[in-house]
Amino acid sequence: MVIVTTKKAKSGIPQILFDSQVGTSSVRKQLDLLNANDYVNLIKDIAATNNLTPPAKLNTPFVGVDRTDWQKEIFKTALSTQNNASISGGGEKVTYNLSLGYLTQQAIVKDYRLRRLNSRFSLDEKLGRFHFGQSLNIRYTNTNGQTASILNAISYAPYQPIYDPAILGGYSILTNVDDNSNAVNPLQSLGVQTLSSNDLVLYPQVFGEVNIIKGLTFRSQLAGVYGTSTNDSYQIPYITSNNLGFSRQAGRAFNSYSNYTFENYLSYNRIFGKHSISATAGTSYIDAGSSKYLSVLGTGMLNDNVKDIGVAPTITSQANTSGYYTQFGRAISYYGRLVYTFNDRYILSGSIRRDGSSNFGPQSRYGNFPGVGFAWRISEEEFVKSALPFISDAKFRIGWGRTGNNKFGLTTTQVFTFGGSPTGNLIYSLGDNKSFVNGTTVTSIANPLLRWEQTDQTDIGLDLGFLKNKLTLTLDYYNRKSSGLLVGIPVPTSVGIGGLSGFSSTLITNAADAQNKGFEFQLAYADKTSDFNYNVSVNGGYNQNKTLSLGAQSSTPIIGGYFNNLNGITLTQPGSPIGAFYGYAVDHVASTQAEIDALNAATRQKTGNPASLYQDGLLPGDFIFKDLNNDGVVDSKDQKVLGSPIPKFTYGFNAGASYKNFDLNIVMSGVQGVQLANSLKFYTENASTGHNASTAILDRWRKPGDIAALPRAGQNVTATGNLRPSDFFVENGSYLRVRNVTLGYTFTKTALNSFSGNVLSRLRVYVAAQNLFTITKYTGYDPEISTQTNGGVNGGASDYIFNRGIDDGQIPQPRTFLAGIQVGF
Amino acid sequence: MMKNIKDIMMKKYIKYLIVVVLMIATGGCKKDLDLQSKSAYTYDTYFTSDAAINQAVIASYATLLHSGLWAREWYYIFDLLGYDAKNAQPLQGDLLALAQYNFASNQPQLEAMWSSLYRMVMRSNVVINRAQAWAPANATEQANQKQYIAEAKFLRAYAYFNLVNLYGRVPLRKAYIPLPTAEEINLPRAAVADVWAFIEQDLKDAQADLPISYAPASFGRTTRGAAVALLGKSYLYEKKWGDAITELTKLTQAPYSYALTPVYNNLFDDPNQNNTALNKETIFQVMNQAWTDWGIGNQYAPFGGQETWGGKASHSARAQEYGFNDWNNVFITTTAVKAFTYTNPQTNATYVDPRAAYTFYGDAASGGQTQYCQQCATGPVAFPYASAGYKYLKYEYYNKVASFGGPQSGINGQVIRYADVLLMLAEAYIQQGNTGSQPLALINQVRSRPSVNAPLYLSLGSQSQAMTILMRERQLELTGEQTRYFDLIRWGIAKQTINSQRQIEDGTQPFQDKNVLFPIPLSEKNANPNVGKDIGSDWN
Repeated sequence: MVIVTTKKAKSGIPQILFDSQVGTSSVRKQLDLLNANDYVNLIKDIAATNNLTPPAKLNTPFVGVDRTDWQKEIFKTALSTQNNASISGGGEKVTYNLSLGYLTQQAIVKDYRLRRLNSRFSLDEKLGRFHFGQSLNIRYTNTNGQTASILNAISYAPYQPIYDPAILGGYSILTNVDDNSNAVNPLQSLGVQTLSSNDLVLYPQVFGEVNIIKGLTFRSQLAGVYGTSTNDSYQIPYITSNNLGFSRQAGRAFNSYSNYTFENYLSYNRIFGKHSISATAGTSYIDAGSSKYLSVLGTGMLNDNVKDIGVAPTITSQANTSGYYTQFGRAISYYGRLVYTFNDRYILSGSIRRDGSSNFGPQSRYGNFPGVGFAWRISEEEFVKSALPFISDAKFRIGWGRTGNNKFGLTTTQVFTFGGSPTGNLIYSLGDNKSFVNGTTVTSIANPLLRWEQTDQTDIGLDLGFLKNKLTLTLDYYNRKSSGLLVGIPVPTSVGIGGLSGFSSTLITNAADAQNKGFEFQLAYADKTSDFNYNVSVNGGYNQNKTLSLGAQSSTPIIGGYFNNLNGITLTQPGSPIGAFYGYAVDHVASTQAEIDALNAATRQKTGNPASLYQDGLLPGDFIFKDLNNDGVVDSKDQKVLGSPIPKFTYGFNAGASYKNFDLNIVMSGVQGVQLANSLKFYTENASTGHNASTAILDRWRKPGDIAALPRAGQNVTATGNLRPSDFFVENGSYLRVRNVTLGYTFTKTALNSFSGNVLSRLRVYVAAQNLFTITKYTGYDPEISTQTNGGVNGGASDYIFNRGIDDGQIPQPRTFLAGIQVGF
Repeated sequence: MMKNIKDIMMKKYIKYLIVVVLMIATGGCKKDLDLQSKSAYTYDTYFTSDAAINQAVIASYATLLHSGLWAREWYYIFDLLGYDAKNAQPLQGDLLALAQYNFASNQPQLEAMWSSLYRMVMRSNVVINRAQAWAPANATEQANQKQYIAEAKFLRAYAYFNLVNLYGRVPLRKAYIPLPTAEEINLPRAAVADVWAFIEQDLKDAQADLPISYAPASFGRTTRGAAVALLGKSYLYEKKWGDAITELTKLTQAPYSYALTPVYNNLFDDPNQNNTALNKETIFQVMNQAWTDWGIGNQYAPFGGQETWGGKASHSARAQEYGFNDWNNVFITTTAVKAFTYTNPQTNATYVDPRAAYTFYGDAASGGQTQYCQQCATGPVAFPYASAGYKYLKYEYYNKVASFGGPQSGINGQVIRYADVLLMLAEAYIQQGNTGSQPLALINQVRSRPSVNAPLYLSLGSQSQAMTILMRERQLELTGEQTRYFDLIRWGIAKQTINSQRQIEDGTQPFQDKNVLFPIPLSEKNANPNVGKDIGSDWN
């Protein structure tokens, strides 16, 4: 149920608050990439490995000069500002609150800027037994530009200048013909494309509440959202790497969406002597809403004097869809909750909800989700008070509850037609003039058997306070079992769906059962003297994630985590964590042919097969992988779990102190027992094709006899050899990060009066640093990976849970320094 | 007193009000949980008219342009593996791995081809399923219903023909199942004989219901002749020589009017190849419309943008990919060039076959074309053989422009043409032991095309001598048309031929015994447990 808490205005004289903040952010770390000479040697090595003559340009003095540090060019110090003002006030019966916020933000990678204006207005009326409220939030967002690709900055040749007036569009390019590389200039798309977006969203909300009899209240509330956005783009004609030409074009996309939620409930709260009852019963309805999208392409402009689609003589549809706003269609819920407390010591609660969702087939639309709980405030017991007087507070909690998940695509229980995306793009040419003829088919299969994903959670907890609650300790144990996880599992390509870009090759299924269980604690101490207040706390958690079983619809282990056209590096199978890293184990780089011959001889002895090889395709300079099952041959059976992207331990440390007018706050957090797949290593420590790399690649195999850490350049662009999923990509992702340090100074009333009279009621200034430093062994930019940008290619599972912990050049968390002021009038 | 009454009334009123509000509230919630898609029709409700089922047929043809097939990658796969082409320096990455025979079950082009062939099967199955469920309103619609099913069966047979030849045992998906069970999804591999039997039946059915020709607006759809040709070809691949002769012979007689195109290059010329007065040779081709404008389609649509981000586009990337003045990704192999020089069957002198000049650019001695831009406004240009080496001419149009500037070729892909049929028919006779006048006449018929006019054979000699002649004739006639790989595998000489040619050219012998079949794609193996457990050595 959605219970909205509104910031209530206080009646009386208007209160005005203002705060303002400015900050700069920058990247924490840059990688050590090759200089021009080492880069050219690498590119020549690639050609040599493939018996090709390197392009003549690579023997000219031009390529020996370091012209551009591409990381330096794409990263920048980003400015952000934030200003908020609010005014609130009112009388006995009516109060109001108006707030305005304005934020500007730049990305730490060139060149993207966001500006956001927020405004919220709310009214609250109390009229006898009635209580009404209305509010309206308005959010307007404007963005400009786009961020350069970090992967391109890693890949692009250091001998290239940024600009080249001889190339259409003005940016330098590489070609396989001249440079043996087709990496893309990281600044090109920023220069040839102009992008902007404007986004306006309204969130209206009203509620009415009536007190029927003592303790019994009925509340009805309606909350909506209406949003609209426009995206504009303009592209000047340009030529990019490998001489691919692109034309002058303009784009515009419109999106509008709306939705509402209607909720009604009765609540009853009464105390009868030592008995206290709190009950709620109600219904909620979430409308499917609507979402409409139309995107058009403008072509045929003759020059770039007006960079707007308004001048385009030809307009074509790029996308045109109508759909719903929610992820689950319509949803209806009925719910009830009862809490009974006896003597402030024994608290018994029970709840039940019945949820219906149009996402499921008619047979399985409704799910029932009960919960029960019991809490015992031990410290209220006389025997505890007398026997253990140092305990100031103690509470024992135990609970069990079931929840459901219904979030997946709307079109999975039926098969729908496909006529291209947008409709009309599916064509074939017929007739002696080969005109386009439209086609319509289907590109999916459906699963009408889908049911609610269920999670049963048991919690046991203990809250303890000592020394008048100066010292507190919270202990929690949880066991969360999910059954029938709703995920897209890969469908064999022979079914005939998927396999073409934009086509899904997965089927949403109640695929797996999984368990998360763990333990959490928090220990805090706070004390104060007249001038000095301080508090410190530590928290920690241990979590164990395990796949219990795969669903009945597919018993195949689920493979995900695809990147760079390689094989999936995650495998979900009973007994190991969901989306665990899985693959081969690197032994070392083969030094000589003699070494390989010896391995093959041993293999033949072991297998008795004179044609058998230790590792198919193995050449000097390749990774030798471990024969884990010891059958003499390295094949797909020699793979193992290489780690888990889900941290085993999480921990944190908070400290706050104030002395006289100064206040200081420090927040640290860390994770331990976690692995990451560093897909950047495909670029930084591997050179199958021409691109720049990190200095680590200087330690590569170059000639027979070399003992090297990394394989030879120019080998195995596909995952047949060195690039098969292996521990080469998997790294320790543990880190400890100082998330925030804030130092503030608050002026005393006396000081304020002395320089402002009665105008200011409060004034605080502060400086802060975010992500000040990070301790990690991870070699990429940032071990904190929160987003998923790759996934279900090559028939892999696309859901986040199968693709987490893969670093593919996402923008790292910046280090930010802030200064701010907070004023009350 | 009044106030009390008012209070009591108010209380009563409020309670009723509450009840009414609650009823409205719950009533509002009694909404229907059925949601309809607003962007697409359902499978059950759309394909209920002639026009809608025709659209489903068009969608099946459209798969011919999908990744791994004719608009991009089909030519790379079979030219590189059959050694009609070898990598030039600009060819990098996974295509280079293909050129080096350094590929495994995750080779992107092969996975794409497998997926697209099965997409062709699936869409054809959709046509058959929906057309059979449809009740035609009149005689015209009844005829169309038969034709649509027959077209789908031809395409399904074409897909399975490639699958069985390239992969051997494959899952045999006979129908589209909208709501499949796990068993139906995870179909195991069928026996090779079962796949062939299915292909034969489809082609017999198709032959019965396909028209011999179409009105001009439908030109390019598959015909009865195409079904006959593919059935004859299937029999040949199955070594059913007698059946192959029976089928293929049909195409040399009425009602069919196939004939060799007098001007060889008209087969590979847009628009001449579509002119039925100039070209009676094409039996089935993939229709490619030249790309014209970004406002209609994306120039790079063949790179995976089909039906989605590529807009409306049906052009081929081949000319641009192979073109020596464009992306310049491959050479024609020197061994393929040398094959055009052989002993004149009549004089025993060294002879250079005229088809060399329609196949590749080269030096005068090789017989290759030495000029390009013959129809350019600026006049002909000498082909820079010294710096460029041997480069493909077939499927290029450098006779008209000096450079294409991007993928935009409208040259149709020749899937089956009459010369191929004549040579297959000759081969069936020879394989039966007949090296007499019938195969001799067929081979000589191909050699005596007016623009070729090569000296005729006087006799074919022994069966093995006849096969040698036939093999060369197929190679010369069909270089760069993705038939050589299939031929070498079918004749069982792929390993020896490719390894000896590559030994000469680049000192490698990359063809291993396992290469007679492609590896079952990893995407199939990973998702389909019944196929996964049926694959040996991570290959097939």
